[in-house]
Amino acid sequence: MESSSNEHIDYVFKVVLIGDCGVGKSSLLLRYSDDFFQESYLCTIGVDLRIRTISVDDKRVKLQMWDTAGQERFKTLCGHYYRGAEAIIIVFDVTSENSFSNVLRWYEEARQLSRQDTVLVLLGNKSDMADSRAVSTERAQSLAASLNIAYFESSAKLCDNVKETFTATTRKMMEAYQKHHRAHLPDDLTNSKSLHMSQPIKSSTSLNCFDCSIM
Amino acid sequence: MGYESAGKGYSVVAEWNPVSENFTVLNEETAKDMRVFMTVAVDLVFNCIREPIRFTLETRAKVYPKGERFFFHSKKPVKEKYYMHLTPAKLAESEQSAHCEQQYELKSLVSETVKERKKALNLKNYQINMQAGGIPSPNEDEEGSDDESPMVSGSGHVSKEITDADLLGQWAETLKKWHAHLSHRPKQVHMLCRKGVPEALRGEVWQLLSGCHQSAELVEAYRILITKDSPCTEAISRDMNRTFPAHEYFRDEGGIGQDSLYKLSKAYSVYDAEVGYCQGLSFLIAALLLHMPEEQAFSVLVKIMYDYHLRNFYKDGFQDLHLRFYQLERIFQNQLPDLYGHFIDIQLEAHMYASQWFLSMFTAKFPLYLVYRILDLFLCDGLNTVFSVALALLKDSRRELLALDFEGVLKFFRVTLPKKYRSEPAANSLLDIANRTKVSVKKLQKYEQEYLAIQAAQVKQEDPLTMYERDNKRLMETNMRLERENDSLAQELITSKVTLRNDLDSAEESMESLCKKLEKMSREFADSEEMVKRLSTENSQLKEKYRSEVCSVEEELKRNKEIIAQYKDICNSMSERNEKNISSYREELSKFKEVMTHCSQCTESLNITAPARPSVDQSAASKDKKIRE
Repeated sequence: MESSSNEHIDYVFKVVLIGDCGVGKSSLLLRYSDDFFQESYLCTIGVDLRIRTISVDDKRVKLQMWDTAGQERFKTLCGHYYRGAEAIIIVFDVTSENSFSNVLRWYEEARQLSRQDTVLVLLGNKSDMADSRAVSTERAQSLAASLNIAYFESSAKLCDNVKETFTATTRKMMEAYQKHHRAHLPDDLTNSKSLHMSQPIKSSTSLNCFDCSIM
Repeated sequence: MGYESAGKGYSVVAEWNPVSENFTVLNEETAKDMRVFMTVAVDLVFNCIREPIRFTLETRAKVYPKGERFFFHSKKPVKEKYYMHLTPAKLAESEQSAHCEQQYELKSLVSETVKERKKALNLKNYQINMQAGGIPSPNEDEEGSDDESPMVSGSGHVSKEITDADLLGQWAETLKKWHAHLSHRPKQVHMLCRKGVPEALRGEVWQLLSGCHQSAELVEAYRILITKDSPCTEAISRDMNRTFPAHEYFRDEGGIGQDSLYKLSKAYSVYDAEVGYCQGLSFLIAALLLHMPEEQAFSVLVKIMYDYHLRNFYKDGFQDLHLRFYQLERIFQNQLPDLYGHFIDIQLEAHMYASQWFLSMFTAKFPLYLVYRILDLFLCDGLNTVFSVALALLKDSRRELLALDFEGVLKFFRVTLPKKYRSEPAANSLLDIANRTKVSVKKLQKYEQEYLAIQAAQVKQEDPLTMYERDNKRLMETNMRLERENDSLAQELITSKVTLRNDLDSAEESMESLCKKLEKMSREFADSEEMVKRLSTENSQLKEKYRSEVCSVEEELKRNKEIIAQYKDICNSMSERNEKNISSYREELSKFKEVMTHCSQCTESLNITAPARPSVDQSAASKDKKIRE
């Protein structure tokens, strides 16, 4: 991991990965956070957190990436994480028509439960499997264009375009943040105790997104 | 092995003389209650290592009687892994080998079995402290290791060997009692389960604990259920090669393990359509399948889901699960106030770490030894085990967790915690804590009431303004989104209308020209039709003419034939007449000759005229011929 506990951090962003079962959400995060790939070993039950700190345009950005279970029924459990997210990446599998046709449902869900300034991104994974490809880049692009969101294509297996996708998404989050002038910068970042949960996130929308359903 | 080892295997073959005195043991059949061990030692000389290295392999053996027929397909070859620790040797230059720049000395050699055994005995200081240059070993990361990759699910070997003969005796006695009264669980069971069910007995004990002995109909139902289609097949098959991938039974895609797992998951999803299949279940099913055949595993699963109420966790959008999380947090708050306070500070909530604990009954991430021990406890004590085990996990790592921040805690739960229980003593001590952790049913009920009250209050409190406001906001957002969509759709509509208009115009133009063409063509058609008519009348006229012509020709032909026939008749009659004439002439001539012979003067004249006669014949013949022609 790139960050040490008392490193200077400019932004802390939360990213939630959603999409059908088996499209490679966990693999993408494993690749991105640990630079490691396992052929279909990962089954996320509920949610999982991954961290990576990166530099974008001279800013240190810590990404808290939530991996969610893809099964339909987990939407009620994982949906609570959408509200706190600065970005939601909708992942589908370019070799699975089904996962692509479900993108619209995931999009609706994400739009409904997220904030207005949340960046949505469409990501087609498994681009290495050209032979069994079912969804063309053009189709995915035109869907993304009609939803007015960015489209990326990646291969977690070959580590192709994974980093680029997250960097571009981070840039979008920074733009969105600057546009909405939200008090986002932690006041005391050298204080390691409060680092993991930056102050503004806590105060504004908070990770405590569960309140609404439990309390 | 040296420089060229990549992908190569070496085999060493040894033979012994069985008659030799030293091997008498091998010639005697091993008695049932006896154990024979065999040690094979191989000295190998390695390139670059100064001394030969002795590898010893110890294994249990059994000598069978002479006539034994081996059906044991399950016997596996004995495998052993060795960890060698080498240090560069300091050599005089003259000693340096030509093949090898560096010579090494053996520091230590440990087999994996020995290492595991030592680890189990908590002997931490054996000499396998790897340093740079050593062979990296996959099991090297001990507690506190900073390896970041999580453990693969289904890790860990659970031995079937029974080390405690006393415990086995107690179990044997208890099982005897139990089988005599299946519905009555003997008193000792509770105490024995807390110590952990011996692996060899687990399959049987789990079935007895869950009360499966009375469910022959479930076994029957299973056979029918596996033939039915399920709406969950896609979700199920996606989880097959990620359930216990570390276990060899489930490792191979399409192997028997995955096949059974698939069939059982599918059968259950048909049996319980409301729950269907939920991620997390496959791990529990896999743990069952490692101890009993499919049909029995299905029965136990049904019992766990219905009788133990585990299925409530998966129902109705996890409502019951949320209640359990609340209960957990309340007990947590009671029993571990400092850690609970820390979690509140870092805003860590139960659903972030306990979802996969509860939804898989702790089977998904922990080493199998611990998984089985937890299932022993769960099947013995019921669903509240989830609380005692969860609390034990928190208690056992309390100090570490207190020092970690939000991200650190979550990573600890994901990576470090499962690894912590790779050794049996660690798992045992966790279960001791779990057994000591009292979760009172009364309190749980109280918390349930609290939870329901809070929920009701939340709804009430929100009533009516905030709720409406929230709804309003949501609806406004939806409305805005719909409006946006509407706008884009309207635009699309306009552009499509324009293109349609253009299309229509061009289509009209082309239609006009086509109409003109059509007119022209129809005129041409009419013309040609007339011509066809004219031609056809001409044709019929010609036909008529031809026919009459043919008739007249035929008549003429007939007439000609008649004439020919008449002519032939005439010819015939004429030739007849001619012949008659000839014969009459000949008669007259003969008469005449006779008369003339009497007169000498006449005979003379006759001789002169005689040659004239053939000419008469000739002319008659030529006349004949002409007639015939």
